[in-house]
Amino acid sequence: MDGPGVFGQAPDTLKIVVAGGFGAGKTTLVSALSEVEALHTEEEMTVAGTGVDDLKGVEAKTTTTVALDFGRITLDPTTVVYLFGTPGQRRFSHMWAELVEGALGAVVLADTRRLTDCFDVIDFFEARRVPFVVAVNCFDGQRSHRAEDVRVALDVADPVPVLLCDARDRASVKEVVVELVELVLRLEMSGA
Amino acid sequence: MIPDRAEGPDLIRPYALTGGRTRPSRSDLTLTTSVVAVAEVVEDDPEAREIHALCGRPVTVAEVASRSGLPLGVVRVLLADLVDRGNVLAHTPDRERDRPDEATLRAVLARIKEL
Repeated sequence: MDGPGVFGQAPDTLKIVVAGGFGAGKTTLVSALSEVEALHTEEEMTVAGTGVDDLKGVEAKTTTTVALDFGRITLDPTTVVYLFGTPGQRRFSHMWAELVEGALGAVVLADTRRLTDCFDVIDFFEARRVPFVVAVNCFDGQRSHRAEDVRVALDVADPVPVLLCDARDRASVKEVVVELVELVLRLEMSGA
Repeated sequence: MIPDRAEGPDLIRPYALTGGRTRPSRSDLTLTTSVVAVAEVVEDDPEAREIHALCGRPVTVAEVASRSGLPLGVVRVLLADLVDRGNVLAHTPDRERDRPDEATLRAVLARIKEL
């Protein structure tokens, strides 16, 4: 939107969304690649009640604070990449809608102990046609799971890359981001 | 700096700082919108002054929120006021509207591999 209050010299920003359940390692992954310590902000939002503590006949709504962690990577003076970490459960989908707006793509960070935490956000990305990769965080550094097993469990289509990663390891996280950008490039070249 | 807002329980409700307004006056301030301070703030409003000071160089809305310790929604309302009053300029990146082309993607890929 041009008009009053607009200036032209800001660097081009690319946005990558990192989604995963609580404790899946989103902040760790963002920090591993960010040039600054992962930044943190909070958003107050009203969400539908989860059903557990609903009062009968009362439309349950509650305000919750959503933590948003993000990091920054300056590729060159004119290009900056932001990685935004967001919780993967459906009640945070208000936030996803803004985050995926104009996003290059997304990383779904999966914790094999709680794969179901990823289902909602995968549905969302598929419905919005947001390119995404699934990165399985191997906390203990042991690759005890096979990517193919996770693919089957999550029921994601073949073109979606599924890879194992260590969110603490910069090289490993870089590999995940490279995989995502290569996916976006393939989609761009195939005209999808 | 606004002292220790991230520490301990808040003593005031966040939207008290915006006169109860929860929606910004303009909708073009996304998380990655760049903002930069221009004209001096004349209002005697500590939060507006704080946010204005954080925009001393071009910085994203998300970073202003992070560095002020104020909730993102509050920052958006206060920043929108500053933009409306001409104290701050905002620039929403093209990528919010257009998908990067093949050449840009290849350049980004090469740069990331170099990191």
